[in-house]
Amino acid sequence: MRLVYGIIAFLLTSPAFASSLTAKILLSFIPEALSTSLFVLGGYKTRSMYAICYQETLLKHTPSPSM
Amino acid sequence: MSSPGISSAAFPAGLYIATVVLYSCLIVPTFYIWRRHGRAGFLAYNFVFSFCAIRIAGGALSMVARHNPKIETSATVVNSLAISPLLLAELGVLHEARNACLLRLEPRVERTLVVGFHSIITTAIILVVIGIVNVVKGLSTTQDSGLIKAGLAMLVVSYLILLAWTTISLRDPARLRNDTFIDGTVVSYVSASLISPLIVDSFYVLLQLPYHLSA
Repeated sequence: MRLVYGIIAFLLTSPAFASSLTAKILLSFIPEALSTSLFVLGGYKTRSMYAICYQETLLKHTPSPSM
Repeated sequence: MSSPGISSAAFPAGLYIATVVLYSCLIVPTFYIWRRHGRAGFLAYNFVFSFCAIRIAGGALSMVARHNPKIETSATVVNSLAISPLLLAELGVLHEARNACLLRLEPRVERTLVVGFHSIITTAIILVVIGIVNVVKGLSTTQDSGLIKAGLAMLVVSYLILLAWTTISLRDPARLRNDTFIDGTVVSYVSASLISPLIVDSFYVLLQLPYHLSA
């Protein structure tokens, strides 16, 4: 495990790795794409959030019909 | 921010094409979600939309800059702006989730906190951009640029505060378990799961600075 950590630390502090295409893809392109996709998925899943909230408020303030 | 100061020719054109295609696909649902979430989701999805637009513009400029070096500075500055809107969007999502999940929330205090935090992040972005422009113009180097260091320090502190704030917000939501609460919880988890990729991306920015900004 220490060897793995050592290799990762070496790669991350190496100037050659920092400017490589692999670093650009692994540390910049993929995290950004992942973040944006998560925003989109989460936003789409909760797209009716405020419609439900509005209905709740409406129901709360609507007087019940007198019997 | 992403890879500040690195020349557009350093990476293959395919990466920029992939960026433009990916964010062109993501910008359409983002606009729809922004409209659906309305005013409450403005702080979150407005910035996701801006991020997609900046990435498309940055990718396109980088591709053109390979043939026309005059716009290299513009491409570098536009590419340098990118992750900051994501940080602002993360703050917006957290604000939306807190409004949906927490019952005992003081709207005035919450608004003041969010506006204050936005101001800090915006100031950090401005400092970094001014620093990068100075480096690109040859007025200073990365090692000497106090503006970039101050801006990046402010962004890193902002990440840490946001991480702490998200953790506190997830701890004990006090609202009846209705549909709004469930949707708010989903938004909370989205907000929490966004922290890791954003930290990886900011780490990449820090990694780039000592070696390549003076390109």
